[in-house]
Amino acid sequence: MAEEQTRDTPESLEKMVREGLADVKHVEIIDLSDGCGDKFHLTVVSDAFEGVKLLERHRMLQEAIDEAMKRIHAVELKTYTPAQWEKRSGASS
Amino acid sequence: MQHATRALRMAATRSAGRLACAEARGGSSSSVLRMGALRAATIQTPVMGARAFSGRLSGEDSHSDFAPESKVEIESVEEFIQTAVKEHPVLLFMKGKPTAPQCGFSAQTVGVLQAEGIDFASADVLSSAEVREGIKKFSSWPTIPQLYVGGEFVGGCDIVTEMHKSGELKDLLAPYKAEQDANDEK
Repeated sequence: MAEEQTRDTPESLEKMVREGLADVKHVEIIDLSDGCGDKFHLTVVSDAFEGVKLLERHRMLQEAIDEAMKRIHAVELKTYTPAQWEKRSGASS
Repeated sequence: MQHATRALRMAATRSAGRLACAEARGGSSSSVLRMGALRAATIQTPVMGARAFSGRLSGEDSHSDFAPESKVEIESVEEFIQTAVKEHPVLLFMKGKPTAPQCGFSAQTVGVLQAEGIDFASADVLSSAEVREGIKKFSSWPTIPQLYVGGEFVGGCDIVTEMHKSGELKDLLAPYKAEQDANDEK
């Protein structure tokens, strides 16, 4: 078995998200474990979340990264529809 | 065939205006737990611990001697979880205990429940590998903490925090809180 991709990275996770979810508009993934690859923050913006309850959104996202979840210790998930994301970015300070 | 014998006592205690905390201890007793169905059949694990915890006040625990207890005999981890979420309307599966969380996400979730002023029970998944794996299977959810309200899985730290901010959690907990408040006044 190849040794190469045993550690998850923001790049590898982004690939999984874009492949596993439809209509992904924006992805931000941060390795919170200082490069150790076992704790990540994921922000995902997708039309697929429209009208979908929070718990279900998280399930959808977790299914997309299911393979990585066998290795990753912890994840923080933030899910938005494009409209919700715009509202958030446009918020004044 | 190996048999593991244990009794699981879920202790829940409440007293008006006081932080109530009790720890369930198992020991050998007349109830028989068949471990044959689970993968680690030969392991004699320490007991699965569960604590009843009041979200109202921070402070010391009351002694478990004052706790009424219900004995739970279980056939499997799944049955334990099913029984637990039925018996305890607000139940948090977490790492560590509310007074000493062993993980930032668990700590944050405890904080949210305390902010909601709701009494809740908690189960320390670190005290039992079976419960730790069992709850992930039961909920089809890969991470801890996990909050159950009214026997239903609500979510993990992110979701509970989000619902707290939006007021959705307050609405969800309202009937349970009302009942707790009513009991306090008796």
